[in-house]
Amino acid sequence: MIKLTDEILNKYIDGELDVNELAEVKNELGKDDEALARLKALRAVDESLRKIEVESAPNNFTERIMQTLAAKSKAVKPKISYFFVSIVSIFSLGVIAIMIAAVRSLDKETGQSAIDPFIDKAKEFVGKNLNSFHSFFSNQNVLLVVSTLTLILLVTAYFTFESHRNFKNKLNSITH
Amino acid sequence: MRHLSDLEIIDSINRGNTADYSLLVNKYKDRAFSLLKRLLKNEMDAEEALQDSFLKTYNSLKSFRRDAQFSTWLYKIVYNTGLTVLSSKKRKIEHEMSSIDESFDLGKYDNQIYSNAENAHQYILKMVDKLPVRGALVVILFYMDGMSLSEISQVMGTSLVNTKVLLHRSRNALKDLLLKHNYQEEML
Repeated sequence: MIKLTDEILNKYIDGELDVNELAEVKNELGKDDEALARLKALRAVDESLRKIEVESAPNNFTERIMQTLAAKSKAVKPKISYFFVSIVSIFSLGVIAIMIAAVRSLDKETGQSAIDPFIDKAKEFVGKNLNSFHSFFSNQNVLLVVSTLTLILLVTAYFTFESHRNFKNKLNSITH
Repeated sequence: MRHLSDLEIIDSINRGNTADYSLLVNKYKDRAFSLLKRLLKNEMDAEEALQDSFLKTYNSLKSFRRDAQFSTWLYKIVYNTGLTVLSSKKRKIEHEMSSIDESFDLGKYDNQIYSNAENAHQYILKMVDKLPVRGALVVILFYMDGMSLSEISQVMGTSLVNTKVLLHRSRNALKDLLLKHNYQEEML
């Protein structure tokens, strides 16, 4: 014989009893008025709770949320990556140095350069300092400059890849 | 217009269509607000927590793991935000929230609510607000949001057994009040 406890009656209204238990409960309910009253009350509660009304969120709530999000996204300024700016600057300087070296090599071979008049004007403009700059990029120094820049580029490339890998690992640890 | 699923909306937002977030807000704001009002018992606190919840949800959208329903995940954020507001208000809830052995004795509220209620249904709904907080929340999530006990246990961080116990105790407490006033015959 099954005892008609509140727990059994709750399971009854939730449809959690198996076929045998259900038959037994129905049989017992026919003989137990007090349990039947409890079941009726429980059903009344269940039906009443199914009619709970959803309360409305404040007016214009969605608009306010979207405005807040829009304002926040405007407030976030794009971050300047000084690391990458440095890399690009070094790379650009390297390219310029190699171009100058190439032009100087060409001058040696031909004896006359098409850009000589411009260099002369630049010499006049910059003055004596250009002579030291000019001599620095003489043939003997070109190889040294190019080698140094290559080394710098390799080192910066290594740090770039390391930085990228660390960032990726950090991102994975956040999302998982 | 085709009805978009939650996951389709989330994919669209993640592709950069931020405006689509309004679809999710519109869909869940009322239910989330109802939950918070029951939890915080204060309209202004509920509104503030509702706003925080949706901003947090937006900011965490990329980390949403699709092994659970979006609604369950959202309600968990809403519930935890509500708890944070409660604790910041320094209300004495810790002992109340710490175990399921909360007092489901609603007798002290009965006279006042019974005399003011227009009918049995209204009486029951007013009594739901007098249930212990977690009992009321289980009732709301189960009946109003149609969530399963398993989903509710995920939202509230309680075991499945304890969630079921909370639901049964809440219903039993309300049932005892109906019996007391012999409302059951009138309602069915």
